[in-house]
Amino acid sequence: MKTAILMRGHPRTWHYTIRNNKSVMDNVYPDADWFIAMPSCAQKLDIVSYFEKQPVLIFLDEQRFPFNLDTNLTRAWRYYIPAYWKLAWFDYHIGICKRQKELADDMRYDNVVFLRPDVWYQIVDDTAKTKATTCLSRMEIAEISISPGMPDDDWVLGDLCWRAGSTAADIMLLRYLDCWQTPGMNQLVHGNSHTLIAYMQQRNLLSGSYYSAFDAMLARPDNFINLNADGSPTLGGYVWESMSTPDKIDACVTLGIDPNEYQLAY
Amino acid sequence: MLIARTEFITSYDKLFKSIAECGLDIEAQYLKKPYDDFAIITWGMTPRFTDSTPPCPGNVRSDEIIFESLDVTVHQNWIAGHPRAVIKLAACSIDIPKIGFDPWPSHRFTKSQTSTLIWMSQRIGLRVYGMLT
Repeated sequence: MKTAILMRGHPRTWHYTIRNNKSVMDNVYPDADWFIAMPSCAQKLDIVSYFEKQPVLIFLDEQRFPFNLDTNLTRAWRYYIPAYWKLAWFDYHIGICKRQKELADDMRYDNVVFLRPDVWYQIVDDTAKTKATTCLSRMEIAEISISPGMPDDDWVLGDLCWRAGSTAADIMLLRYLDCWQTPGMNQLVHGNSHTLIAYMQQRNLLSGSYYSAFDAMLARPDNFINLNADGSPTLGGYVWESMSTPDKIDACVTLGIDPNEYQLAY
Repeated sequence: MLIARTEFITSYDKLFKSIAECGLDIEAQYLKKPYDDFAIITWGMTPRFTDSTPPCPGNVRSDEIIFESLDVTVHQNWIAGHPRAVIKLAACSIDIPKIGFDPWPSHRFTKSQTSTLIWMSQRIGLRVYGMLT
């Protein structure tokens, strides 16, 4: 199994999660190649020092993001979901680098793991590790699946972590350039970041064999401000959502995180 | 119109990888000029459409891909379509040699380059057409 680990998005709590996440992934996929895509503001971060083998680094200037709110492109859409499209944009550029490397090295990644910098990943036991190393078919996705409840009668998938087989990975990485988005047509009738991922998966007939190998929890600034007695982060709660904007900004500043990464007025 | 061209290749494996490389070339062009409405990858020495007939009448949908022919006895010299459709097929074509699947088992020309490319296009959700001759 040839593994590519794709970490993409705003760094946010990156410095507080990376040691754990790197250790977890090294344990499960010791020979993986890392691809990291972040906005250009992350260039000032010391990313390389966490890696023994040089990862592929992509820094994207957000001013050049084609789907910014004031463009004609997004005005023509019925719904515009920045959380979905910004990540799709990062993924798309990672996908180009991944394909270039595959062609140059004459190999193919058949296990592509999608991660976020602001999530805390864990493998709880050997059973989970076995699940995480189960080979996927080319058109298969694991770790995410349609919600049984189908809230609001729509497709729903998690977006914290997923794995994809070789062709499924390329299809998901191409979703920014999704061939169904004919310019001028109203394509996006499914209206949030979770439903759009699910819609992409279903429309491309990618099989979703759901099993939860990775324990993935959002890691937000409050989790690293209010530590447990043993010094570990307080993960799993939803304190962040209930905090006031000034408190959120204070938490970011205390941890050395740019509040703009959480869309906080600063 | 975006055009990428590779040399004539008989090995399936090399051909499909070459299509993938051409797809990257088209992506590089498309990102600079995203409203072009047509892209072509050629690998034959003398694609017939360059002589007279344009391969598409225009107004191509973004999920449409056009082959020289849907007859699997005809060796393809090119694929064409909306850039996004061409890019999608090209991206997925890296893995085509590993399909290990006979798309049309009842046909006497099974596993031709044509049948494999057409099958893969349909499998990834593209609308597939052959050019009328």
